Amino acid sequence: MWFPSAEVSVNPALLLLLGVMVGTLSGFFGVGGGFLITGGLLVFGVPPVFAVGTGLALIMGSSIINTLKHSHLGNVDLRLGLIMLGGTVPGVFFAEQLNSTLEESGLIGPVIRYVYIVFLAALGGFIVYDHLKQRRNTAAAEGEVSTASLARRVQAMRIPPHAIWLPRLGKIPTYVPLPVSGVERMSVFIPVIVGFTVGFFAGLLGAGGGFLLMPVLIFGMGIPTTVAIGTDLFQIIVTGSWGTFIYALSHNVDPLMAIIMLGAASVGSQLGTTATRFVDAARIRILYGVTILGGCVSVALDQASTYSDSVEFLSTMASVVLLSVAGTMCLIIATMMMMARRETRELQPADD
Amino acid sequence: MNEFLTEFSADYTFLWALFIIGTMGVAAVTLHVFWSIVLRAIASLRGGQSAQHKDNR
Repeated sequence: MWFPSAEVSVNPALLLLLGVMVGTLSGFFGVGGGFLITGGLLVFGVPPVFAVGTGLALIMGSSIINTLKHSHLGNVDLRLGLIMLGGTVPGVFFAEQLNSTLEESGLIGPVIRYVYIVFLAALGGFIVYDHLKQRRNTAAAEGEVSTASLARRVQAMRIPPHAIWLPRLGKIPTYVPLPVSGVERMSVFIPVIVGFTVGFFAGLLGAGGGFLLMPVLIFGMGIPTTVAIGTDLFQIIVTGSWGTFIYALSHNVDPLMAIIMLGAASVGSQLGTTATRFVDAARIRILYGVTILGGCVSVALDQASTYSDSVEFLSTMASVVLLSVAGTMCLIIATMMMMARRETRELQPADD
Repeated sequence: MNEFLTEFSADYTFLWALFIIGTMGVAAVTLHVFWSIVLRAIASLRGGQSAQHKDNR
């Protein structure tokens, strides 16, 4: 099938397959899946700049579908998401300024890749470590993360000013309850700082930032896993829309390709979001950690392919590794959901 | 159609960017509504006691 904007011919079946995978993983993990889309489209022969632009358009659409679905399940903390946006937007802006400086000095490519590898390795490694530690820790409550005490301390932090004066509204306290997340009271500066940091690194790495925000919400702020997934997706709508707009201005988005993949992603979204109702939160986290480590290996292979012409094949291998990990994860999610549903059905008559 | 879109995107860059965002947004909401209706219809056809919401927190 010919795509006039990107001026490339791609088999639509491959686009549909990629769309389903993106939708499933996005709905299940609460991430945009930018690394997967870009990698996949590059393997299909789409020019790099169109792969990123079209990928962002898909991230935006897929996040809207997943956020709506998660909000029906009560997994979106809108208040937390809106407060965090106060930090995310300036964070992305500062990152773009730094990106321009790095681009002028010709450092942008290697810097971004190395930062990406370090982040993915640290995040993936930590999530796997947390899972193994909690499995051994019999005293921990079911589903609790190893950083639960740190998260409680973060939630209890008192950051001045404790109230601000606004014209017409008067004195407003800077602490808000977050009932959806189960947080009694939290300083608004905490989500703003988190939003700024995540927005900054997301802008620096050219990603939606979902892969960073999801673990920060769970391990750093003590937000329940399913609410972290839904709220993270809400944030990605904003970052994805902004990215799509920027790339569309320079004619680097193929709308036809994005719409075809979005249709398929909507199917995967139903599977991914529904699976979060049935699959245990600890399992969601460990699967996410393994996916992140797969992404790390893929980016490392991609970086290694730039060292010499003789190892250029590593670039293709990087995309194949990424698609294989994503495909395997989708199959695991589908299997786990079916098993969990069967268990629920078997238990129901006994409950009655 | 293709020619019109090519010319439109070249002449009105800002509107083109808004058009793409709008199209993706509308398509996403439409697909969400479509799947909600389909899943609800399937649930009601099956006698529809959907699985109870498991507190997964």
